[in-house]
Amino acid sequence: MNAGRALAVVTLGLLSASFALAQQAPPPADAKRAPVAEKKAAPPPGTRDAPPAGGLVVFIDPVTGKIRQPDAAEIGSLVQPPAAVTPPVEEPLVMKFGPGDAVGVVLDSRFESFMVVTKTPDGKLATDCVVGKKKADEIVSAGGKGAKKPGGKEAPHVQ
Amino acid sequence: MSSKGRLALLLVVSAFLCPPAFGAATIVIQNNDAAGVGFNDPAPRATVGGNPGTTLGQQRLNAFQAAASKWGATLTSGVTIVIRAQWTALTCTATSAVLGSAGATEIFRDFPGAPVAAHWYPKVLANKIFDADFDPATPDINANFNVNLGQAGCLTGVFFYLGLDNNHGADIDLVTVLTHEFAHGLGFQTFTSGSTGAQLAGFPSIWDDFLLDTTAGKTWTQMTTPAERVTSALNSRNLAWSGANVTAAVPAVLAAGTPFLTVTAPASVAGAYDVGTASFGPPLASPGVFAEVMPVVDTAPNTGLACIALSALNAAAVSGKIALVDRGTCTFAEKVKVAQNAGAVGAVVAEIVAGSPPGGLGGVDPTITIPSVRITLADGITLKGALATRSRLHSGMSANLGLNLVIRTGADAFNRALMYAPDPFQSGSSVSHWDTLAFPNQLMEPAINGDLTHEVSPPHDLTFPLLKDIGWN
Repeated sequence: MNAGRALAVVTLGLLSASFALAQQAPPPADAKRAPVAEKKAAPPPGTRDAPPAGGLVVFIDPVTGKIRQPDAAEIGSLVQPPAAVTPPVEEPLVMKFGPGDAVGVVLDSRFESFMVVTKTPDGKLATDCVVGKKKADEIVSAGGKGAKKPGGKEAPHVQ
Repeated sequence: MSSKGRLALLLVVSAFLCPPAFGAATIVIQNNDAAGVGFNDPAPRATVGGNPGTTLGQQRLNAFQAAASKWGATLTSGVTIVIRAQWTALTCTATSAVLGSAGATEIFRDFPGAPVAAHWYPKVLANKIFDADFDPATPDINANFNVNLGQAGCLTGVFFYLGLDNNHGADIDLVTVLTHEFAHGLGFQTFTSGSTGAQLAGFPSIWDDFLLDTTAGKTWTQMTTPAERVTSALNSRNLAWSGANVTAAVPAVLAAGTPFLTVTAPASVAGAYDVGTASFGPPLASPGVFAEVMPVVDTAPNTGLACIALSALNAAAVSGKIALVDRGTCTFAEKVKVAQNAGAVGAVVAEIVAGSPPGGLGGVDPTITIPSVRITLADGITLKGALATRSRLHSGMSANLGLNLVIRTGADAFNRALMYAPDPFQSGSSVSHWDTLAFPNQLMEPAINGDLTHEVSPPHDLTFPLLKDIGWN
């Protein structure tokens, strides 16, 4: 390794910079000593699935502290109209700029590979490698039901 | 100095205390755990499976080092590879758990010396090609594993096997899981979304140059619209890796013989149909079973299901034939046994849910002696359409149920390894793993199979050839 070519990191932290803007301002293309600059860009549309909307509403009696069926008025106070639901916001991508025309992207847990394991009803272990913490957590929460169907040689369905 | 600052210094120091894995590449495991936790857990442990550690933390670190050493001895790089690792509480229930995760921390494109312009490379590969670290302050790969696995409520009673000899028994071999996840961090994945077809920030991954849709005749990079890639991600058994290193290695790694149902007549439906194999009965063989195909007819309302013994008349129709039955109501093994008892020489179970590739037939019955397979709903409809016109005892449909020895298991006819592209799309698994058809089982299939070795190169495994295709050597 050539230690003399190690690069410094500069954090710009521009929260709302678009990727297009970032591309219009590349760093000098002269040497490997140029710093890696970092900025945030809006996520490109469709890079990851949006989380599903909706969910289960549970009413807890403010007097007893127990879960019970709410009456109509209480339901009205609980459920937001659809228009008021805040759409999920994706974390913007953090861009970095290195020597020459180098452009980088900082990857977070959305891009990591997760290994999930589930014990099947017959006691066997079924593993599944998926990308993204959200998907991995969904599979665990569903007891493995979101996992892939084995493709023919590992713990296939029996019926 | 604040206590927080002292802790940070301690962690940095502990990172340098971890012995690096020396080989053609140097890989350092950066211990990111606090005192007493994870790699630093002081709980005493007896040595196990060649792991000389005497505490839980030491054994965990030794397992990480073993996986890193495998890659360090395999890859070549003049730049030290740093894996930041920690053990934390990850999502789990009593019967399911996230084992751990790993991945590249950064990707780069258009760096000096990049073999292909305007393509994303994982940082660790970009560093190797550039021969310097783009961002020394940031580790190359992040790894996070479940500190609670095996405890009550977290896949209760199933632990990581910390031995280094792969003798994991009913536990989960940590070295194998780590070797798999590290490979993703080294570049065994695309950063293009398979569910939307969108390229990350508008650029393809180097991976996409080798992801060939053999139906479209295009790589993912050559596809001009996201919709093409979405369609391709579902093109099961027709999405292949076109890299020369993998293709050259396939004959040495994958076994000869792909299971097929090959229909030879009538011409309108002739062809090779993908099948899922059974876990009971004899394995498919070559030349296999040649016979006429006949649908099972039995008493309403279970018509076509073969869940009850066939009448003498219906049994006569399938006797000596390959029986075609529908999935549903009873187990696969029960259906095949009913067909066998009626005199069938083979059985084909047609799926009742859309999707591909066809799953296998699970179950156990040592008394079954005929071969059986599952086909997709679409293929079942095709065959049943052709079978609609038949006589009481003959259909005129001829087929072979067996292995095609010309085609390697998990590759196409041109020795291109098949990629995992099931329909429906499996978020995160699709297109960044080998097809599950591959045999012997491969490290980079979406599931960790119990018979994996710790090898990553031919003649055992195709992972390293793929990494060579994208720029490693």
